[in-house]
Amino acid sequence: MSVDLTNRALEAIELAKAAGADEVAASIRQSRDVTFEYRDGALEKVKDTTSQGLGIQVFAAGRYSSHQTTDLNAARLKSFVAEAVAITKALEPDEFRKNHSRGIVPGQTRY
Amino acid sequence: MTIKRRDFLGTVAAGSAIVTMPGFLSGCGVQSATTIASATPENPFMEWFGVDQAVIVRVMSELTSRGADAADLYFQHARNNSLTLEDGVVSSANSDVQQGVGLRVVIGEQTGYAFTEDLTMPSMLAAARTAAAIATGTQTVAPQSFNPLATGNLYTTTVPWAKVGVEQKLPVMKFIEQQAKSKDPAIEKVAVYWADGDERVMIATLEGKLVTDHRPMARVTVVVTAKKGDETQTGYSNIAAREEFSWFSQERLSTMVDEAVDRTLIQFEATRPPAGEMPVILAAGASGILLHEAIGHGMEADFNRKGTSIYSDMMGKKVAEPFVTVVDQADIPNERGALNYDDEGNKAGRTVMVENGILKSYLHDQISAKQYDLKPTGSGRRQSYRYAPMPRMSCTFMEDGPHTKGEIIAAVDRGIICETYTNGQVQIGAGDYTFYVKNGWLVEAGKVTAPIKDVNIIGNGPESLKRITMVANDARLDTGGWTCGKNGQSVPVSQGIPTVLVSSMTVGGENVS
Repeated sequence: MSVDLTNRALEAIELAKAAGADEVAASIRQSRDVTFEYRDGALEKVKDTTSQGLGIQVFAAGRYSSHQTTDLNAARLKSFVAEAVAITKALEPDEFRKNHSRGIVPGQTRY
Repeated sequence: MTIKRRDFLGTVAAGSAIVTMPGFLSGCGVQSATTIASATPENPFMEWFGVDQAVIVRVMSELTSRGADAADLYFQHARNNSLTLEDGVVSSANSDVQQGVGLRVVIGEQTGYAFTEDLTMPSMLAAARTAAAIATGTQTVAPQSFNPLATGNLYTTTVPWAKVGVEQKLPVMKFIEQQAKSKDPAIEKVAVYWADGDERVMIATLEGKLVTDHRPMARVTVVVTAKKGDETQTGYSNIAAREEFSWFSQERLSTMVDEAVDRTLIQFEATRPPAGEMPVILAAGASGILLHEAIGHGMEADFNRKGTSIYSDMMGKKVAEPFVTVVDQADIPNERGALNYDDEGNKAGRTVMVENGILKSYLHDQISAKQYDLKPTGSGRRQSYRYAPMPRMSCTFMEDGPHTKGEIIAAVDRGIICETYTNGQVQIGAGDYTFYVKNGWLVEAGKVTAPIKDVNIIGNGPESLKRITMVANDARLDTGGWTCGKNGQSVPVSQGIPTVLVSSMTVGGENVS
């Protein structure tokens, strides 16, 4: 794996904080799913999917949003995170979501 | 292309074949690609995806290691942003980036498919190896370099969406909201939905082609709710195109708002028409949904190849009156359904499906074209790198006919005009369809008499096509943001039509005693 996934997640957190987020959670995943289907001894269907992705949950100025990308290119990750924080700040404050220290859990990020 | 683009009529479509609103050689061994120098200077798309000629040659070689009739690599980066403004506040904001490569190998009737979002050599080679397993032969000779084709210019932009921040989009959304609210005191709520996207696509084929395409998309929708007394009515309008931020001029937006408000307020006066069989006038523009659902899907060659389309045995035969010509055309600048190249790297262009009433051509992807021994029509499309392509429509419309709108209305003794739609669907095999008509008009004794609303129209595609007895000279494409869903894949499309008369259709209005 050429991309160090853990470091990318940590980078995303730093980038989000630098962009003005109060709290950030980042999650990262990579998975591969290979399917072979045989009928009467002959291969009928093959499928091979490798997915990867980074999700961030951003709290900024009492606002919250979550964002996903499968593109882990370092330069583009930076603009992705900056945009995520910017649009979070444009949202209406979410008074029902508390950003206490355990308020955001990476596992909540949905892909 | 004689059709005129009308700038401001939209429908929100959300879309199995549904459109709604709110896609050789065989022989000996292959040399190790890593030793081969790039044949051409690397292009920006290669840099973007972090690959070069040598990498693509190596992956293609692996993909075809057990033989292939066709094979391609589909690199895609798609960036989408959306914002919702409701009751004066931004209630939701999303950004999403998806990047990956789809690897396809076709041998006979079988397809091996893989994708990976990890664009490193080991991951791409592993994916290629699995896809190749569908074949059982020997290495196909893969290209030793890929020849870049000229890039298209149907939707060139100067400012990419990635450079347009939320601080530029919000004032536009607020302008739309204020315009709508100021139009009429009955307007209680306004919601504005914004979506923009940028797609980069790079396709390398077994034939040695390298195709790149940068595909922008913009769409904005306004939904208006009005209240008079105890009665509440809702209407909408939207506009969509392969365009950039500057396309959203105040004039364009105001026209969209006017439409949404007009469509909403007219419903306070509108009634449901009597139900039954009657002549139906399809208004120019959005009524193209009839062509899309009832005829277009039936012309997609995959359904004909499998013999499941009602048009399977109709090639060269009369399917409509001689003044009916139906076209699918991808090379219309900036249209939502426009494409420079299809998702198999074939030039996308104009396919005349019905010419002067005679069935002329299906819409082909590479697989169906080969089976029919024809050239592909550039109709192979896919939702993303996660999916194999199949034949799809792009911009589907009927050309101008010999009549006028006035002549058509004058010819109807008792019937309806269908003007705006929320959705439609078709059972592709049999061609049976339904559409939901949001706004329309009653026609009595050759005159437009009263507004109508909320009507289902039901029919059979081939039957309705035969029953088109008049076609006016006011063809235009709808500017709404239609999305077509088929076999679980969604793609943006455009559609259009001139005013036409269908001599008889089933209208699901109200029974009157």
